[in-house]
Amino acid sequence: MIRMVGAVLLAAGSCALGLSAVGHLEGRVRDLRDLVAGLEVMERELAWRLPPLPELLERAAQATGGHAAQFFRLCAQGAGHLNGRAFRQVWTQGEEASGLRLEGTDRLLLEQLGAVLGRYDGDSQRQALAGAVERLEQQRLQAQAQRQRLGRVYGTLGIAAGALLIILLV
Amino acid sequence: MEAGMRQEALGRGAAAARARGRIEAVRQAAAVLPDRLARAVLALEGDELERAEEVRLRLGRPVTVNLGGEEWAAGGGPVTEEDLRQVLENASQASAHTVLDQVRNGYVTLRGGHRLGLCGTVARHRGEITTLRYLTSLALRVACPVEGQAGDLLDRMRGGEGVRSTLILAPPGAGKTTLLRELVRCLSDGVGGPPLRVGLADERGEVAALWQGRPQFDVGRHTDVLDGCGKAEGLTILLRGMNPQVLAADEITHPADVRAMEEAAGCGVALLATAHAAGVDDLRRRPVYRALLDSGVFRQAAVLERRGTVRQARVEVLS
Repeated sequence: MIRMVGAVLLAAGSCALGLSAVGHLEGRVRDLRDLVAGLEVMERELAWRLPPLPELLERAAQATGGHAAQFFRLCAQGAGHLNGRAFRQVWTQGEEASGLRLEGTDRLLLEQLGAVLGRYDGDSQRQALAGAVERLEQQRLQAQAQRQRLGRVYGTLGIAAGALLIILLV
Repeated sequence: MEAGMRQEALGRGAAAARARGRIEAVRQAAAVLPDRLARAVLALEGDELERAEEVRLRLGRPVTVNLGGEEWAAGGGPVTEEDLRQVLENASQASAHTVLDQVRNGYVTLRGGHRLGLCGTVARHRGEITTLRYLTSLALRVACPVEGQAGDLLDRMRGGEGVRSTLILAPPGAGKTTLLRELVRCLSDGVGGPPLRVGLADERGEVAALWQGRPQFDVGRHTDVLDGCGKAEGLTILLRGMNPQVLAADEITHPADVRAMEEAAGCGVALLATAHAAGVDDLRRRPVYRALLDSGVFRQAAVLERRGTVRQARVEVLS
């Protein structure tokens, strides 16, 4: 009986690992999509009204959801109360605290944007936003392809490994 | 006897409230400073803090506080480039794009109406100032709204039918803008007469000190403020869009401003403006103002004069 319970738990763990890998792939696609949507809002607002950064980021937060909204909201609050920090730090801390599911290049692109926002004239910031939107959109397309390619593999592997464990242990 | 004592107590209460307001204003202005420097400034004794007019930051030098004309060195060590950058970032809420116009003019308006003066190496693009490449000094001027200055002049403006168009004259630093703001507030709030719709073309943001769309100084309940654009353009926009009964503008300097004033006067709007001049004769010597006086749009000039610490407005009838 104990062996049976142990086998089921191991199998469940194995399935969970597979599904969690799939979840990360899906989450990255979703977060990148939301980030791009928020940055597009910022780009448009910057072109039209030139609002201050806290307001700009709050607009982006309202226009998106999930982790991206949390990221924009944290940055909006931080920009309004810098407390001795440079905005670049606020941006990086916001990215870490919001739980965005990003990978190396995605993070690098965001960091590069954070170094420009709030420091230059409206046109320069808009160009930086447009560039970031374009490259993050490419990242999203790649992430989507990766999810389609690897998503099923991870899921199947997890379930298969779980089934194999049950067969071996029971 | 008892009434006199009560009056005295009321006076003391008002003075204490003014002092508290003043100290609070210094605290609010100091919030843009890095912690180390803010602590050094706010370490001043209460009565000294109350007299603080300005905080000055110069690269490599200790921060100083201007106390009634004298600069007092605060602690906190020498000011660094990072300190200056951080002050500007705090002042703009990390939004350089919103203050670039102000940076080009040499100052940034802060929450509370305080003003941050900037100095350093100017960067130019196609002959125009774009920004400051290096910051070397900052002057944080603590705002201090003064009420109850309009006095007799308000009565002279309100006397008779409607409002008499008035031009306030004085040399720089004599308090023209403060008086203009107070007159705008009184006309708008209905002090000494019915409340009036006032349109304020605040080109340099000195009268209302708009910060994120909100006036940081009290300019009255019925005042519509337009800032960020030239006076001539602003006066025309206000005239067309806001149907004002009084139009106000600070520092008439350009022939276009004069033309806009003439156009407004032609529409039956009362005018209130300021100009740099020691008096009407001084004004008449300059072509732009001569045209303004000849146009007859202003019915009286209020010449500001200082006698010791007291400021008085001498009114001259123009037409």
